[in-house]
Amino acid sequence: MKYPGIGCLLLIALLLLSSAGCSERTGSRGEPDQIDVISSVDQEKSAPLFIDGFEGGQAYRTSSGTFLVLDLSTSRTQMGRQYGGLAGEDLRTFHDRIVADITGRGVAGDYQLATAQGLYDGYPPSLQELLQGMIQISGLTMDEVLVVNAGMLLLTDAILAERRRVCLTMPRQGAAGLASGMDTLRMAHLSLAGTGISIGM
Amino acid sequence: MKEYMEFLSVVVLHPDDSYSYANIHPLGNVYLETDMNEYGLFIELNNGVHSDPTEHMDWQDTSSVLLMF
Repeated sequence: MKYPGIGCLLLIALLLLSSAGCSERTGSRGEPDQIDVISSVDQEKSAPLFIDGFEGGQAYRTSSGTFLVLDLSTSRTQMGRQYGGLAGEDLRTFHDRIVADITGRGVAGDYQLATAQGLYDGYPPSLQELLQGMIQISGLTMDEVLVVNAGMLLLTDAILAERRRVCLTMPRQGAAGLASGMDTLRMAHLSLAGTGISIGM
Repeated sequence: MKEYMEFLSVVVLHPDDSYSYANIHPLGNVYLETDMNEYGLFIELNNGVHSDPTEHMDWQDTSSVLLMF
């Protein structure tokens, strides 16, 4: 292929279209459909629904169900305890799912923990104390709390590394596929020679 | 990433030694990416590290890639 980078660029464009651009609906004349923003805002403006309280912290769910809302106060460690006490089950679910995902993408557990520990070591005491409070009560170990804190970063790294590998290999596959297709067409052209049927080569 | 949005949370912290702030992030992520404090100061992190060749020596920034063609 003369311009091997084009395959990568097209892949990125397709990914962007599938994740974002394609979500915009258009009317029959091409103009965007009017989105019912008002009712969405009204829905979010409704009071959040109280779920639970723990050691002075409160958990709510927005009326649309989109967000879990935690309202925490006092010391950093105490806020971490409130966080862990209110959201421990969800933290466990999130941890187990995202770690399985990251591991399945080829990121070793040791690397996950080392990255998570490195992030923690670089945090100011305020964030470290928040995490320490979470560790006390959430039901997750310190390693698990640190990994879930780094989970989205680890997953982003893993996904981007995968896409980069795809970008590096696709142009070669594309060139091979094109050559194979051209061979097939040539063979078809030869087999049709003399029949009066043209395939445009 | 979309499958993890069910864990997206708004955690409002009222520390007794500093400003209150809200952290919008998946659950358990305590570092700041999208946040607002009690005075309305808003911050948003858009991470471009994956396009930074000083971080990933064998990677290229987006503008360089565009000039390759």
